[in-house]
Amino acid sequence: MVGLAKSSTLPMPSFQFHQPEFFSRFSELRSWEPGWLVDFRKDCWEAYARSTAQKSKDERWRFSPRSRFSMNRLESLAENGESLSVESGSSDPSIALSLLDRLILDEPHSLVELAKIEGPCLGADDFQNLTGAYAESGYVVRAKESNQAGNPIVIEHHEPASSKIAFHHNLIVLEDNVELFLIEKFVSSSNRLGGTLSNLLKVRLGSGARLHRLVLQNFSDQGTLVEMENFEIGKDASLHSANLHLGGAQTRVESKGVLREPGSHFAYGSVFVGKNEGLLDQRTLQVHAAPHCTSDLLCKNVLRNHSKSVFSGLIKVEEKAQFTDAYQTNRNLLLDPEAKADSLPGLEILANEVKCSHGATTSRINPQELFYLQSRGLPQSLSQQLIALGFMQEVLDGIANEELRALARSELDKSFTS
Amino acid sequence: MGPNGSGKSTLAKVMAGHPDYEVTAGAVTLDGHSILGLEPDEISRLGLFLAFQYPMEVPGVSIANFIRAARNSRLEGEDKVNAVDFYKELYAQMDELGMDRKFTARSLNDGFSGGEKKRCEILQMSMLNPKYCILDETDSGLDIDALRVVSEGVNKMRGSQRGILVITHYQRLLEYIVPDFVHVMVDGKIVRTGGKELAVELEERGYDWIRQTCLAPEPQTITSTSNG
Amino acid sequence: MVSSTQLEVDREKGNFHYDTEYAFDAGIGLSEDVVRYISNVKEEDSWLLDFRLKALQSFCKKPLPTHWATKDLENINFDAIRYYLAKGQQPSRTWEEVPDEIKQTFERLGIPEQERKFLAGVEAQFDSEAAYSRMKEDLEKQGVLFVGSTQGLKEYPEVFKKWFGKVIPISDNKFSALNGAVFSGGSFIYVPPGVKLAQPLQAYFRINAENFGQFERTLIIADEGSEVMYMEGCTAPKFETSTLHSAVVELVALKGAKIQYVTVQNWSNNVFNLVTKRAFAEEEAEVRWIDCNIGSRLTMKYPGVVLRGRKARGEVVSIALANDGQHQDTGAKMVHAADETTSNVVSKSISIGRGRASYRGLVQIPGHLRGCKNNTECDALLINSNSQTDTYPAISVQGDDNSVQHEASVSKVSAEQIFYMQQRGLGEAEAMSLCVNGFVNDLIREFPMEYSVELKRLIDLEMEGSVG
Repeated sequence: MVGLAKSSTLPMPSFQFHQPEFFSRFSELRSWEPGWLVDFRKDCWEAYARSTAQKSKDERWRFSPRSRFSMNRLESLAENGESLSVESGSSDPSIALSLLDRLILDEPHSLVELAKIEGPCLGADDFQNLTGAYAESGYVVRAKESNQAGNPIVIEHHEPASSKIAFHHNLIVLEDNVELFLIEKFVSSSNRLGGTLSNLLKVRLGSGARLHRLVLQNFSDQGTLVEMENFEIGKDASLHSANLHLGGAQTRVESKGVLREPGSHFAYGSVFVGKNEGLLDQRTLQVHAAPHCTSDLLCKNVLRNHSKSVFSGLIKVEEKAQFTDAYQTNRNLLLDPEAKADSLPGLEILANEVKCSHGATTSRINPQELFYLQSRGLPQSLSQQLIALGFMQEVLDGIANEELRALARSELDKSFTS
Repeated sequence: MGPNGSGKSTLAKVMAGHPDYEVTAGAVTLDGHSILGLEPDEISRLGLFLAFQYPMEVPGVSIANFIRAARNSRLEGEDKVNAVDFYKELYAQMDELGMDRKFTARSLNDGFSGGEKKRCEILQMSMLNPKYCILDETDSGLDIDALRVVSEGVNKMRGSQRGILVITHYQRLLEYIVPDFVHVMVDGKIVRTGGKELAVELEERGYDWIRQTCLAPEPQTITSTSNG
Repeated sequence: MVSSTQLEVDREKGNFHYDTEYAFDAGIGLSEDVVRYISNVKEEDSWLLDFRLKALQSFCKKPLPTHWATKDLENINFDAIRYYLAKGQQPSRTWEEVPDEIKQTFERLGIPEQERKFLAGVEAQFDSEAAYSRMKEDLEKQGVLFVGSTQGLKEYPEVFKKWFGKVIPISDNKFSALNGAVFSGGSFIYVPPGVKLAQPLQAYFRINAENFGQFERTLIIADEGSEVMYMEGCTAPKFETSTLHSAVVELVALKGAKIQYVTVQNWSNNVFNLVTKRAFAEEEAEVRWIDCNIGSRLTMKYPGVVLRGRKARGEVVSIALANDGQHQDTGAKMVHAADETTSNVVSKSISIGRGRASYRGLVQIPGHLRGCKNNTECDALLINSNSQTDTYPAISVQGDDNSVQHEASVSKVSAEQIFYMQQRGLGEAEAMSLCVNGFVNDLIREFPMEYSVELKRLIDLEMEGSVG
């Protein structure tokens, strides 16, 4: 079966979505969209077509079992509107929460940032370009006022059905001094889905704005997620993003934080609980483009069975970004002989008034530690579990807000006991 | 003496030529010559020594090499310090300060305890033989034994050829180093000058007493410090 | 610049050349004919010519690695380089026999003096071939071999052929392939079982001719339980055009053997220094690469150890100093291939002016291994506001009984440190120099005494004029 654009009445031809014939038909059906959006979709499509023509080795996929993210086995687009639901904890009209397809119809001018802000461009360019070309779903938050941690905005992305791909194109714009709490869930309605979600998020924070974001990813053990995010952080603004990857067959995450103006802060934490053949392929980039900014990134992976993690991170300090404090840490705990962790921590420093460091460790559970717990009567599996939870605690500790931290904690506990 | 934030350490750093401060008014003279605008090393070689409140750690640079380099910087051309004589003198001074001779090979202040750092400052002071010494809160962080040893080191250096300015919050140090004069600084100004009994009185009555009794203080220049 | 006179004077130390008549000259540019010419001059067996031709093919086929390495590689003009230049004489056994202009060169660099003082053997290479080679007689009696690559393969094929090209295969990378095609010179060393050399062996590499490429090949085999330290030094005059140095160094440490390989690289700033260095460490063997890069325009060098036997140990100790116009792209590769193997990497770099220092590392521990450990530390010191440093490690670990730790930091000499030292009377430049020497002090101790003194002096000279 072939995907249908919701607003179309004509059937789509039986081409696959990565073929040019499919895109031209798709464009025809959406010719009513405003000119800038038509152009944007076309530019994205052309970038996609160009990039698939090149076959050179891509360092941005080093160590990745890239074939697991191949689009060849995908047949069609998921039905629009089925893969996303949103809920605002606040009825405050100054926090505008809308769906992309509604805005395209009603207020397309409010979407121009989608074309202006770039994606992270950390390797999954195919997904990024196709998301730009095809996305009809997505959430858009424009906040003039703050919300409360107890009343966060909650977004749910649903895992598409087997052999389908959904494209979500999302935007968050916070005006000056706004503080916003947001929870983004990636859920699977049953354990038999196994589709792919290509999720592209663009964020712009005004001066002094603060975004607290918690990502809870619980896709099925068949599901594929390609998450791409670019955070543009303004003067004295701060972004806290905590990411729990507890499910999914394979997840590719590309996160880029750009410290655009003085005083901005980027804090990013993630945990991955790898089971069976699970894969987390994570690429991060901390760009210091202004002086007096700080960034701190901490990624912790617990790997059992045949699971695998790839961490590739880069701190880039530009020449003008003096007085930078930037840190990047990747720690991996291997619990089984076949579990595997690849780590590529990187620094590129062009300023000298910097405090910059990165660290990467990969190790097993310290047998003395395990013995100590067992000697107090805890069975081995429970001891392991406690130590693994303790290992990840540091990421949870980094969540400044108490309510979000408690939620993250309970989700993590659940994933361990289930 | 003076309460926290009164400007004592700032004054010490300004006199030593710290690049962070810009002097907009006033003068600093050493033996009648202005030293404002000179490089810190020039001021040092003119004879002013500052014992730091927080001595910097310099990894990989040994104490012996550092002090030797500092000594050599005071000598002209090829007339460098003789290594044998230097170590003899260094060991003698370290013995007096109760420092283990192994310290000579350790990196300057790197991983030192608070007491070790302060002893190392006094060691440098005695080895460089300055005309004027400023001791910036040398007593802070010292236990009684260390305080006694450090004070003895300072007392040995007292004499008619040398001026020593001791910056401290507390009377405690002054039981070991008995001052000729006590100056009290509040809000960047010397508000009271007296003998050693002024320190005792301060200890009993506190700095608030000074603030209240010195509504219109007469500022004094720093060149009037003790010449004991 | 405060003062750079002293620095210039020192660069002058290696910056001279004497006009030399070469009996053998392979001409300019690279072709199959050039490769055949070199092989013919050396009267090589046919297997070696085949090896060279295969390497040439591989070189032509491989692209420049610019998808990860610097684009500066594109500035190498392979067609403008002379690949083989030699006087045609056998290496002399006494300095008296060495032709005058070559002897003058090495005397000016102090090599004969060092030999008398502390070396067990010396080989001095002038452009493509060794001009002088001598080892102490007692070592000869113990069966130690210290010869050039041509002699090694011709006279001792039963010793060297087994490992030649095995540690680093022809097609390992574009520049190892180039070396395979046109190599000449270098040292082939064999240390028999149980023989422990008390003093180091040294090779000194000298480029004298303009537009020249030096492609020496070194192979050291330390048989069971033996120990050897090998040191290499190098200089070249500063020509207008760029010069290429592309060596291949293979080390084999058999069971329980120890090899230390010390390099002090001080090429002039027009040299592309693209070197492949790798070692096999068998059971309980130990290989240490002790590496200091001060010169060259671009250095790309990642010494590696393949830990093939149980409890083998590998280590890379590396100092890099990048000044204006220099890019030191160095690092380490540790491939664990047996249980309980350990590796250690300590790298410190200093970037001065617009200099750029990069660290690239590779650590691999596959899952079937038990009890493997790696520890890596990289520290970078940035002197000026436009100095640059990068760190790109790649760490791949599998299994629940192995551990890897990588830490890297970037710092500068703090203004407070400089003020503190100035307060004791040191000038600003001297204070900076002391701090920088302090930063690398623990690594400099790893070098033999005679080298560490020279290193400290070189660092002081490089620091001149960096402040103010």
